[in-house]
Amino acid sequence: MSLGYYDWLVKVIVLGDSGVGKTNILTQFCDSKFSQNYTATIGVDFKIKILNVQDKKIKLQIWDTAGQERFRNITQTYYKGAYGIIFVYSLIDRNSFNNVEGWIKSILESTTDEVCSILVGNKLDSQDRRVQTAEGEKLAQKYNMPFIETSALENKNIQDIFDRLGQNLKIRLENEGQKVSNNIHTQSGQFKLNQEVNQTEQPTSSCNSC
Amino acid sequence: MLSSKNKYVGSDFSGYLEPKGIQGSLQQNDNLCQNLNLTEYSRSSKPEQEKQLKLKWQEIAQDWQKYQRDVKVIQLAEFGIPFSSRRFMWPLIVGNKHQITLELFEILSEQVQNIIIDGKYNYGRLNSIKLIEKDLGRTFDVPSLRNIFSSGGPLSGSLQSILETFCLYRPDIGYIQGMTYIASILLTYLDDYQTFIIFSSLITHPQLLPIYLLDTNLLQIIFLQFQKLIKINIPQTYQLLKSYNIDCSNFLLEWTITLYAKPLNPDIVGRIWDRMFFGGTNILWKTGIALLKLLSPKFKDLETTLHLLKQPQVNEEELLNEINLVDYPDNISEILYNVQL
Repeated sequence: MSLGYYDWLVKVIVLGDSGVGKTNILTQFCDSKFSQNYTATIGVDFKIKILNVQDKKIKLQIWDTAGQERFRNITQTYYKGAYGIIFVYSLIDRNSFNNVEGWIKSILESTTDEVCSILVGNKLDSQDRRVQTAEGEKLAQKYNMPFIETSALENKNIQDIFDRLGQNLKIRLENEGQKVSNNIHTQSGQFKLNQEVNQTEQPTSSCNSC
Repeated sequence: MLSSKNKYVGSDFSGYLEPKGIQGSLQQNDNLCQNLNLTEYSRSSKPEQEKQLKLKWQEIAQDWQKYQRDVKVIQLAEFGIPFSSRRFMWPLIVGNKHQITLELFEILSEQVQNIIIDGKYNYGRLNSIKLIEKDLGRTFDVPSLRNIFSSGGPLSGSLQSILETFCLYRPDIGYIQGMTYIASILLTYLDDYQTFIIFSSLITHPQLLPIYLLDTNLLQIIFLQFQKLIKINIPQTYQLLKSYNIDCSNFLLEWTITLYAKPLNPDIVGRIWDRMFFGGTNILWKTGIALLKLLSPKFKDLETTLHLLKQPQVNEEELLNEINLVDYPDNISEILYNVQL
């Protein structure tokens, strides 16, 4: 259990098709294990972990969602208030990659909040690759989010997902802290504008707005 | 293997999951009342009790037309139908209300093998078929059950075939994750055809269908009524869940979609289903309240609470006892009974 001090509490959701490894990524990250006998997620599941980003501690409240499309009505109710989103596809399942944009759009449709996202191509351990690295990179660029290929089975790059997400979350949270103090003198809505300006200046390191 | 089954399926459907029509038969069948000295079952030792119960259920099965509405039989079911008797009792209690013939089942299960799903046509939810194979190996946590149903296991072929056949039979419903649990539990007792009949009856049951269709509006109604039940029965827990921002979609959805076969062990599930087949879906809501009540002393924060709700460890008898104590007011019962498409 993760008790103790933290600077920020942040809600993160994990989205992607059924069977791409969402739950396994989280189990590897939060409990340091790979479970061969994981079960299909019905509705939503929940994990918690404290992430150290430089001098700050971010407590991640991670909602793991069912991949089956028909649960989307249910899982969408969890989008609200999410600061971070992890989009996952499987490198050996072409369809799961093709569907990533659908997941991104479902976020765009249901939340206007600024969120930090990351695109993850999982199952790097498999020999049967169906999605090339360049394709993943291109998609990530299109939506202005970092990209990473991982293996939950071999615990490869799993920590990196959260480190990179954490860095962006930290930037956003610190900006927001400033915004709160600035906001006394400014109209609401100003923040969003500022964010967009930041993004065009340094597109790779700041949060995107999907 | 398939020859003897028609003996048990067919005529009856009124008794199935319908609370109505059961009452009022108390005075009939005096002979059964004499035979069924219920207290004797609770007092005797477990193997002895099992043996007596088995004989009793055999007797009941042989004269099912006479006994099916007998309140004593329903009370007897509360002690749990013995494992070996469920094989013939569950098909009798549930019946075959949709008159699914063995031929239909065989035609559909053969047809589904040759079906090609491409993106061009809209087959309703038939395309959910492609998820089934992936889920076979990721249903149960318990190794013994997982090995039986995961790919290559002795019952994995049957499980896959039943779920796929159902998709073809009801493409408007299709497959949703969680259905594997129900079909698996049934398959541990029954052959493929009987499993298919009961599985279909459960999924299309008027009060369960909205859940399997994930009908947002009707689910909202169900969740709201369930919250009222929490408030009435365990007000402190109600406040606690509210303060953690935990709503029914966090736990009740999974509990009900799998008819408790995911959160609870198969022995308890059998006991709950015994009652559900006789008494209707209200047992599902009562079980939910009883579970919450037993778990709530351990609720400390959001994390521990959600963990406990996902993997509740409860004592079987304690749970069954709590279920009987749940306050289930008529007005809520009526709304939940009428949640239908």
